[in-house]
Amino acid sequence: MSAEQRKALEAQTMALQSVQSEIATLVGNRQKLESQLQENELVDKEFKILDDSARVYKMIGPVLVLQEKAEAGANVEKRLEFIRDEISRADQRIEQLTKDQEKKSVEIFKLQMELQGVNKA
Amino acid sequence: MSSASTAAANANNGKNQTINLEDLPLTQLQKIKAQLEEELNGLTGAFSQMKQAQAAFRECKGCIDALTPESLDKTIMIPLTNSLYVPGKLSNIENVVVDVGTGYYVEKSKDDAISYYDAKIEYVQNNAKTIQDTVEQKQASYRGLLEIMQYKLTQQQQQQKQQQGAGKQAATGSRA
Repeated sequence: MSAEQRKALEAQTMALQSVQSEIATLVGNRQKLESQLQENELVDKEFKILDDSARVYKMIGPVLVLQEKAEAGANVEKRLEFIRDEISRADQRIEQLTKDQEKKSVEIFKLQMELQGVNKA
Repeated sequence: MSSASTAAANANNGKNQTINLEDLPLTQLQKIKAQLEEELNGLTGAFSQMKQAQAAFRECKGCIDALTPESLDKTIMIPLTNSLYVPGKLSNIENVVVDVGTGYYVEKSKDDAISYYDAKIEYVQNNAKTIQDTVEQKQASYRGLLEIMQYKLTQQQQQQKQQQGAGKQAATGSRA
């Protein structure tokens, strides 16, 4: 019986570790998204204070291509929206995984207690 | 013991709960110490990046200032690759093209560009200041933590000596 319990404990521990590493990856991704958001917000601000006569170029590969200010502004705003969506999705997933992680920790704790109880008896 | 662990775990998760450091066992304190060291390293790295960014912006401003009316039609070397240049002539000393981020470049007049860089320098300066304040805070916590750890260590050593002394007494019989 205790062998079964030990296997269950091992399985749960591995599961917990994989959840933890997924959380770490997600948190890293979210930070990247956060910095992209800030960069795009700066550009957005810059476009807003530009007057329409200013010329905007976009770097495509090694070439600077002249763009319409309106188009570039719209592009940046779309990108901002997309990044914000990504961030909220990542946040939701992180919250989910954290709850999962806690559940698993409790499970493991219980299994450990049971195992110790069996050993003492 | 488990409540202390949860408290320390919460601190490690970055939740802002005030925990009494003195109540924590030495092992938990060591974990917090390691975490603080990591944070301090990260923050000082970010701070030096800010300084570098500032220096880069100042250099940009310096380059713009070099676009004087006398430099009109002067020969300049234009890089095609890292090791290949072509000679060219400076034809426009009024406007520059500024990198505003995410692959976008904006053509600005010299004055606009200079004010753009000034704003950037100030922005980075403010961020650097915030980082510096946080670093000072964390350093203070770190020093406090070290003191508590030192105190606990000496306590532990004293306890061990006492236990050894008691053990000797028990072994050698009684001392009146």
